[in-house]
Parts: sequence; C-alpha cells; structure tokens
Amino acid sequence: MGEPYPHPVRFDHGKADAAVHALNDTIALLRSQTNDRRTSATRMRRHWTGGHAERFDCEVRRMETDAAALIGSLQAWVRTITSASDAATTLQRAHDRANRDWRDDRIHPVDRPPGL
Amino acid sequence: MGSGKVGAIPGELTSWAGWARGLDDDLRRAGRRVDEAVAGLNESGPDAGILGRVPDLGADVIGYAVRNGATDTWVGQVGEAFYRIETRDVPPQVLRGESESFWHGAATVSESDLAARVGADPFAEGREDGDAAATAERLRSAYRSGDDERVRQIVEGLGGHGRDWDAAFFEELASPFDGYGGPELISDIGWSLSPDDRSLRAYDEALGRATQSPSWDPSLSQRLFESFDPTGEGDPQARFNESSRREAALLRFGTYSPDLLERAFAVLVATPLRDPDSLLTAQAAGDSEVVGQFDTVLEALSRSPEAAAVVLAGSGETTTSDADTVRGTWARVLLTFYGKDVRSARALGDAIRAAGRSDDDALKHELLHGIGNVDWKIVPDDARAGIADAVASNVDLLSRGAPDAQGNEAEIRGRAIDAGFLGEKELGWKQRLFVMAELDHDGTVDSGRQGELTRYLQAWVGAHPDAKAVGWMFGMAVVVPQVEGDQVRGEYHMPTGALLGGQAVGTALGFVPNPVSMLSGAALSWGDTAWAGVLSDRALRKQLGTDETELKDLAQTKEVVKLHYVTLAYAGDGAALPATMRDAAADDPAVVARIQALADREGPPSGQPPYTSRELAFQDRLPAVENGVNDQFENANPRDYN
Repeated sequence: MGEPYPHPVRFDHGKADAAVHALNDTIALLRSQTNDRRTSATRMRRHWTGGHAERFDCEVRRMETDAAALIGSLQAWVRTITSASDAATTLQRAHDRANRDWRDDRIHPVDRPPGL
Repeated sequence: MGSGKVGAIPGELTSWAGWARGLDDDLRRAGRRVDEAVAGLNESGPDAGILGRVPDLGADVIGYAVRNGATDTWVGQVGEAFYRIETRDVPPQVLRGESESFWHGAATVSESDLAARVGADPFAEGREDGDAAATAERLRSAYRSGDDERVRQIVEGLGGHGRDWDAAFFEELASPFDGYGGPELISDIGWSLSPDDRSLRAYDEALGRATQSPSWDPSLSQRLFESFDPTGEGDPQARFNESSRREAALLRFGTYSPDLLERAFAVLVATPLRDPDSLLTAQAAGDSEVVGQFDTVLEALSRSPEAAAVVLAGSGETTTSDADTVRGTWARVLLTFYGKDVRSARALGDAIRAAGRSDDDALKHELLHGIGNVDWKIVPDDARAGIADAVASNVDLLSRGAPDAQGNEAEIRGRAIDAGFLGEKELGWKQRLFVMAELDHDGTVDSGRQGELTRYLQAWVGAHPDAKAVGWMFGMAVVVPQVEGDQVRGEYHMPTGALLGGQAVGTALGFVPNPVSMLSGAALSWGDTAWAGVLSDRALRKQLGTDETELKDLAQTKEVVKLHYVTLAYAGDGAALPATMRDAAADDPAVVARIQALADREGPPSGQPPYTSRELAFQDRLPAVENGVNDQFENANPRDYN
C-alpha cells in the first residue's frame, strides 16, 4: 500500500486561467461593442427615416438581446471554470493532507493511540 | 413598406457598414481565441468530477458576429441605394466634383424606389449564415481537438440545409483568422473522413451544394485546389501524391459547380499531364495512385454534364509512355493516355457520357469530333459504353454539319467529308464514332451497345422530319456483322452498309422496302440528296427506259421525301398516289398516317396532279427494276455522278 493519492488532481490551472481570460476578454468586447453600436445607431437614426430604418431598429434590439444572452452564457462558464479551479485546488489540498498524514503515520507509528 | 418619402445621410450608413464589419471581425477573432483556449482546457483532461467538457463557446460568438455582419452589410447597401437614387438625375460632370456633398448631405428618396433597390430581407439570411458559421466553428474545433466522433456527428448532420447555408458553412471554415483555418482545412477535414464513406459523402455533398449557391465565392473554388509546387522540400512525386489524394477526397461524392471541377481537373489532371518536364508524365501512366486520383476527378465530372463538356472539349496535351506527344481535346488525349486501364477507362467513359448530355451543342460537337479523331482500335473497351451513349444522345447533332462562325451548318458536302462518304481511304470522324460505339477494339460486335444505338436512332427517326439526315445517319450506323467461327465481328463495308442504311431509311420512313427505296436510301446515306436523285434517275432510266420528259418530271423528286414518295408509288397499283399508298399500307394504320402526313407536306406544286400515271404505273416492271438496280448499285461510284 502506498500513499492514498499518489497522482495529482487532474486539472490544468494554466489552461483554465487561459480559458477564463479569453472568455472575459470576449465578454468585455461584447459589452463595449453593444454600447458602441447603440451610440452609433442612435446618431445615425437622427437622419435616417422610413421602413428600412425601423427594421434596422429591430435588428439593433436583436443584437443587444443576443449579446446579453451570450454574455450571460459566457459568464456562467467563467463561474463554472473558476469554481472548478477552486474545487481542484481544495481537493488537491485535501489529497496532499491525506498523503502527508499517511507518510507521518509510517514515520511515527508509536504516536498512534492504542487500538487504532 | 410605404410609398412616401424617406431620408438618410448615405455616407453615415456606408460608414456604419465599414465600421461595424470591423467589429464583427474582431468578435470572430475573439470567438476563435475562446475556442482555442477551451480546446486547450478540454484536451488537458480535467478530472470529470471537477469539470466536464466545456462546449465550443466561441462558436456561438462567431455565429452572432456573422449574423450581425449580414445586417451591417445590408445597412451599407441601403446607404448606397440612397446615394444612387438621389444622384440618378445629376449629370456626371456635376457629380464628379460634388459626390462628397451627396454622400454626406441629407438624401430624400421615394421609399418604393429604395425598396426596389434593397428589396430582400437580409435578416433571415443573416440568421442562416450565423447558424452555418457557428456549425463550421464547432467542426473546426472538433477537428482541431482530434475528436473524431464529434466531427462525424457534425458532418453527418450537414444534410437538410439549403445551398446558401452550405456556402456560408464552408466559407467560414475556409476563413483564416490569426493564421488558423483556411481552404486547406476543408481538404484536411475531407481527408480525415475518407476512410468512412458515409461521413465523407455527407461532407462532399454539402460542399457540392455550396459550390452551386449564388453566394459561393468562386475564388474559394480556386484556392481549394492549389497548384502543385515541385520545388518544395521532400520527394516531389510523393508530395504530389499526398496533396492530390487529399484534394481529390473532396470530389468523391458531391455534384459540384463547373468552375470548381474545371479547377480540380486543371490542378489534379491537366497540369501533371500537360507539362513535358513534369514528374508526372510518362511514369504517371503506370502509377496507380495518381491514376486513381484522375479517376476521382473524372467520376466527379460524370455527375456534372456541363462541367464534363467544358473540360473534355478543352484543349489538352500529354506525352505517352512511347514519348509521343498527343494533342487535341482532353477527351482525345485521355482516351489515348489511358490505354486499356479498366477502371480509368470506365470513369472516362462515364464522364464522356455526362458531357454528351450537356446543353451546349458547340462544346459537344467539339468533344465528339475529338473522340472521333482517335483510332477506334486503341479506344479502351470500357470507355465505349459512355461513348455510345454520347453518340446516341447526340444523333441529331451529328446529323448536322459543324456550325461555322455565324452558327450556320456547313454545306452538305462538308458533312459527307466528316462522315467519310466521299471515297476517302480512312473512315471519317463521325463514322469512327459509330464504329467505336458498336465494336470492341478487336472488331467484336457489342450487341448491347449496337442495339441501344439502334433504339436511339429509331426514336430519333420517329421525331425527325428530315429524311436525308435519317438516311445519312443510318448509313453511318450500319456496321456489317460477319460471323467468324464463334465470334461476330463487325466491319464497315461502305456499299453494303450504305445499302442496308438505305433499307433502314425506307423502313424507318414507313415505306415498303424494295430495291429502289434501298438504292435511294443508300444514296442518301452517302449524305447527298442530289446524288440520290441522280442515282435513282439513272437507274430508273436504264432499267425502265424512261425518256427525258419523264426524267424532267422525276427531277422534281430530288427532294428526298418526294423521291421516296415516288419510290413507293412504283410499288403501288398505279392509282392516285395518296390512295395508292393508303391501299398498299392499309393493314398498318401507323404507316397510313405517316404516308398521309408526308403526302400533305410533300405534295406537288399547287394546281398539278400529284404525279403522272406513268410515274405511278410501274408495278408490272418492278421485277426488272429490282434486278437491275442491285447491279447498278454495286457498280456505282458516286464520283461518276459528281
């Protein structure tokens, strides 16, 4: 019998950080683009009238709605990956502790209470 | 959409389009980076109890950007339309100096004019493009991650979309971002699917549909098949085999646009065969891998008649293993190149069959002319079914002369030269077509192909009013079978063939076969109406003792149908011609109807009796005619009457 957790928890924190970073960049880009589009659309619509302009309004609203949904989805995954990263850290610590205890037991068996 | 006035500053709308498309591109790049990072995380294999597979989140971002791009492009089109409508009555010399003020000034136009210029609703299309782009990104990501199962799932779900969706899908797949992706990704994915016919079929068929979409970018057809660079690192032959196999996998199943197939043929077949210094000239003939890729291209052509006609009628060149240079149409070059390679020959025959069904008569004439100039004995037997089909499908085209620069048919003498009926020692090219269609390379008659060709001819005759063309075609089609031991061999023996052709003419036209009709039909099968008349006149004068007056009357019969008309009258009972015909053929209503139709159309000039009683009263002298014309025919030489 060896130590109870001989292998590290499988989780690449570097890759997880890179994914979170890319997701946050995209969320920021979506937010800024949505704002920029709204501002430019409002300016353009001061002179643009008629049915095509009204259809454009619908599209701008659709873009905002879709962007909000995308941002929500990406944020959820940021949370999921971050939580997973935390969970992996916590789990690794628990494994490390258990392994350490196991090693301590082998080094100082006399310290163990009788009957255990 | 109302019919009132609407306004905008055109330049603001076009500027929006340019600016917003930049945003879309930024977002697409961000989406790709997300997928890259997510793929890296998934590939690192996180403990499943901690984190399951993260989906391709970037694909949705890309789909969103592509959908927005359709709207942004549309805004630019609306701005352009405002400008065009606003300035349509402005003189060009004024506009030249004032265009900026029109772009940046307020334009007021009729809404109906605007709707006429930017009528289509772009939003549904944008939604579809966005969905296609997101799917493409998922496939790219799955392929990049080596997730074969997910690649298969996505690819097998490609069916059921329209051509435009497919085009948007492949164009997204081909769009390189940060040096990642590009047209080679399309062929790489196709190659990865090639062991699995079901997946490759779904992928190729989607690509084929995409290439036929009006929104397909033709430059992508060019970029999908890159010209081979023999100067790169490594063994060029091996590299060519590798790259061409990879690209040929894209052509296994779909039906592609002509421009893509022309490009594929140029890169994968024409270039290596055409270049005398190429690594793939003489040795290519014996390289089954290379030939296999040629087959794939030809098989793709066989599913696209218009492309097959363009490619196979195009000018080609190669050097054979005997170091002979062969030039001509690609059909001719390939027939010569392939020799007797069974699979290749069949693929080539299928491509020729398809080309024969193109709508372009000029190309088909060029194609058939090229094939007809190949020595019929070296044409591989497995290509002959395709050739026979192309000949059969184009009997009507072959019955006409080659069009001149103005699109007019050549003179009948030219047609006769094409057919080889003017006494040349060699067969004419059209004759060779029939010979290679009906015989194998060793002269064995292929009764299946011969029967098929005859059935086509009969069907064509039924719908074709031009009797001289009928005679001419039958004259060419008749290959005289000769039994040699257990084998039936065929030979083109002109007098006999022409005589049988003439008989076929008579039969086809619904006439009672007799030596006179055979004679005139035989003359027709030489391709010259005048000869038919002269031959018949002389034969009749000799055998019947007719005088000059009668000959003059008969001279009016040189139009082919009239000639047969009289011919039939000789076999009749001497009564008025139409009645005679009806009586003679009373047992066959179809023949009666045919004769009546001819009589109605080909009757003598108005006010004259149909034909003289002398013309119609030869029945008692018919046996003499029968005996005489056979001799006359056997000894006849058309040049004597020229």
